[in-house]
Formats: sequence, structure tokens, C-alpha cells
Amino acid sequence: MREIALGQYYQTSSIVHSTDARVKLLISIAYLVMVFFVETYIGFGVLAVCFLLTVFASRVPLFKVLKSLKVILFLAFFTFLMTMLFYGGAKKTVVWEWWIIKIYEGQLYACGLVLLRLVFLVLGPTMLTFTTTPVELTDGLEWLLKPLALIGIPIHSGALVMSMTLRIIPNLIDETDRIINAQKSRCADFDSRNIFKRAKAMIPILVPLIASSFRKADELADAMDSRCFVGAKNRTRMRKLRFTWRDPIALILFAAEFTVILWLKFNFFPFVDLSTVGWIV
Amino acid sequence: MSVTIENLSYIYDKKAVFKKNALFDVSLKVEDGDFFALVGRTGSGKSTLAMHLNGLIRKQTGVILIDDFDFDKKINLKALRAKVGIVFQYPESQLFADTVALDVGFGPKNLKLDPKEIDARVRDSIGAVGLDYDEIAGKSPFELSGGQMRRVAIAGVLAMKPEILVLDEPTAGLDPQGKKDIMELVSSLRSSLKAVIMISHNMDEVAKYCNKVALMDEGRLVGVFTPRQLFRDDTVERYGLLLPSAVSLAHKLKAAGVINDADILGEDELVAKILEAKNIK
Repeated sequence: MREIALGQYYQTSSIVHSTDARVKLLISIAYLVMVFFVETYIGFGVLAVCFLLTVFASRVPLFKVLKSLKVILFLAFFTFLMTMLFYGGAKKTVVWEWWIIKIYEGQLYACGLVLLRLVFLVLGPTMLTFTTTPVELTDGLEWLLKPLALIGIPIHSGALVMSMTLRIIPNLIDETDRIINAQKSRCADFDSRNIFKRAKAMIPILVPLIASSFRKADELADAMDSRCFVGAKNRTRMRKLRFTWRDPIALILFAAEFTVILWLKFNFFPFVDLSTVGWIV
Repeated sequence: MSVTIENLSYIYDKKAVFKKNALFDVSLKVEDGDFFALVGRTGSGKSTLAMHLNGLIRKQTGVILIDDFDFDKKINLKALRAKVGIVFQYPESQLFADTVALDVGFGPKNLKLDPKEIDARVRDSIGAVGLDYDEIAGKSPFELSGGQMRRVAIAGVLAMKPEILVLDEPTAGLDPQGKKDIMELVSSLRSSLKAVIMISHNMDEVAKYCNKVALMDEGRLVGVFTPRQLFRDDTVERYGLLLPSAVSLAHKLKAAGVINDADILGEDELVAKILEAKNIK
């Protein structure tokens, strides 16, 4: 269980790491929107260059970042299959043919675009979690959601719950480890190939785990109560989020990237004829 | 069926964040009839060593000999775990089934024994831990008291009819009477087992019940002693442990000139020494 990377934060110091979590969150959200404006290979080229620069600046090893794509392997394959099956574009040039299967040029282009979009959708948030600790993320989210407090949504308590959850997770992993070892010692079989048997094998782990979680939550609540913890409203922080000179720079750089992407999509400047770059578009 | 360990070393994954609990060149032998104690401060490698014995941790380097299991090849883990039962710390936190009988029968069921045999073993082991089968078998384990839960959990391991029983701090978190009851229980189980191995921080228990003690520190074996040898001087105190209370008292009495030598282990011997020194018959 130890191997489970939580939030997969990569510890190092870099400009990207020290950029304010709120700025990074905002950029990440805008980034997701931006990816949907990219419809050409040139656009993805721009994204790739900007992305590589960010990775370089963050000092996170590139292979580590790319490893996160493993989780979408199945999804990518499925997407590929679906695009191949239901491609509705022009079917002109046949690239490859076998029995009743024909693959058209247009199909491959469309497929490539969909896959690239998927890849970049995953890579963006990955960089956020690689360079921002879960605690910073929660604090950042709390700040960004502040306006909701005006309509009576208890943001502070929500954020407190979230940061306490993050705090408890390592303990929970330890506990899970212990329970798994104990049940294994009683010859519990967790490696069966049969999926139903495997699901059933989870019961001896989940029941004790849930029972102990409730017990621990109870104890924690009592401990907070006994120290007169009331509400989370005026809670102070050890590490305060602070805007620095890096933050406007990050925002400006991102805005520049977004502008280029929008320009590629809507062609703001008609005097530059995009069709001259021909086939890539 | 003795347990022989020679030059056993274990290092956690180099990439792992936590590098504690490794083992370095540990050699020891547990003979039939032993009540063997493993002592040492937290993180000294006691649990890592214990988890090697039933294959929860795969051996890296060194030799482990238990019965005819060849730890160098792929071992039949079920058969091994039926031979070497481990009762983990706070075993009551692993109870999960609807009824006590089902929980105790979990191990035998995993061994694919026939229902009659399972039932017989459940009865036997619930009896062996000093509980009344008819009263308790149909209850939910979560309705029981702490002490009862621990007994049920121990019964769950006994039901696999192990020949070697490993207990990780069996008395942790119990009240004094509960501690005494569990130790008396473990002591009474010795006749039906080939050997008992107990991890303990309570030197009073070690002095009273065990015939051999292995002292560990930072993954290394300091030595294997009889309790009398080990507690003769302040060795254990140098390794972050306490002397048994009677021995500690004897040392103070000797320093104060009340008795001539502190070569005792239990309370009775201490009393005899004092009477002897005072010439009281």
C-alpha cells in the first residue's frame, strides 16, 4: 500500500512550486477550457512547447509527468476505437486495408487530435498536483470559493474537513496495511483471478477499516471538543498563501499562450494566412 | 519443528521514503517448547522479522528454515500460514464477520476445510481462549468487550491449528487484569503449540513467562539470552527498555545495602533475598 502516491506531489524547489496555489488553480481551470479551443496540430504544438517549458521550469522529471498518462491508457484506446468506428468525416484516401477494415487518412488525423486533447487534459492537472501540496490546494480552493460564503455555504468548515481528511489518509493507509497483513495471515486470498471472488475478498478489509475510521473520527471529534474547538471561522494558518512577483508573471505567460491558441482558432489577424502552413492545419 | 534464521537481512525499497525497520544479518533459532520473546525499541525490526516467518515479507538475503518450507523457492503460503499463526497488535481491530463463529472460522474456511472440521475447530479455539461457545458464537464481534474481542481474534488464529504462534504485543492497551488474563491464556496455550514467539515491550511479562529473549536494536540482533542473563545488569536500559520492576527494585535495594546481590528475576525471589538478608525465617 505504501506505493500509492497521494496527490503525487514532487518535492523540490522551483518557480512553479513557489507560485501561489490560487494562481496555479486558476490557470489550471483556464487551461482545461483552453485545451478545448485547440483544433489543429499547430495548436497542440504550441501547447506542447509551453508544457515542456513549464515542466522544465518546475524541475519535475519529464518521465515522471508522462507516467501519469498510464491511467488513461485504456481510455485512450477506447477513444481511438470509437473514433475509428464512428468517424463521420470525409473518407477519401485509404491508408491501410485488411479484409473489411479500411483506415482512411482523415480518420487518422481526427483520431490524433482527439488523443492529443485527452493527453493534454490529463497533463495539465498533473502538473498542478506535482507542484502543489494537497494542503496548499485546499487552502487555495478555500480562498477561491470564498464568495460562496456570502450565500451561506460553510466554506471554512468544508475546507477544514478537507484538510483533516488529507491529514488522516496516511494513518488510514497504515491501518489498511495492518488489516491486510492480519487477514493474509489467516490465509485470505486477495490474488484470485475471479473478479467476484476478489470483490468478496475486500469485505474482511473494508468492514474493519470502516469500523476503525468511525472510531477514530469519534476520538478526533472528542479531542477537538475537549480543546474547545468551535467552528472553523477564525482559524489561522501556519503557512499563509501570499501573492508574489511570480504570480503576475505566471498569469501573463499563461494569458499569452491562451491568446496564441485563440488566434489560431479564430484567426484574429486575417493578414496572416494560416492556410499557407497547409497540411498541418 | 524449530525455526532457524541465519544471516537474514532485509532492506526496504531504496526509493521508499521510510527506511526504518530494516534487518541486518540476524541469526537466531527458536526450538520446540520455547516461549521466545523479541524485545527492542520501536523500529528495531521486531515486526519485520516476525512478518518474515509466515511469508508476509518475502525474504531478501539469508536463510529461513521452518519445517520443510524452502524460502528460496516459491512457497505454498497457505500451508505456511497455517503452520505459523501471527496475532498482530490490537487484533480486535481485524474482526469483520457477522458472528463470532464466522469470524473465527474465516481462517479454516480459507484453508478449504470441510464444514464439520471448521465447526469443530471454531468450538475448540473459542473454548481454548476461555470463552463460552454457546454464549458467544452467535453474537456480533462488535458487541463484545475489548478483552473478549481480543480473545476472539486470537481464537481466529488458533483455529488454523498453527504449530508456531507469533504474538505482537498481545497485552497492549489492556487493563492490568486483562494483561494478566491474556498472558495466562498464552501461557496455557503452550502445551498445544510447538513454540510461542512474543514481541513485547513489557519486561515484567518477558521475565515471568519467557525462557529466551532476543534483544534487537536498529535492525540488528544484540543477542539471545535467558531472561536471567539479560536482566542481570542494565543492558536493556542501554537499548531503550526498562528492567522488570522486581529486578529494578532489587538493584535499588542492593545499592541501599539492604541485600547483598541483585541476582533475581521475579518478586518471589526478591522476597526470599530480603528475608535472607534480614535473617527472617
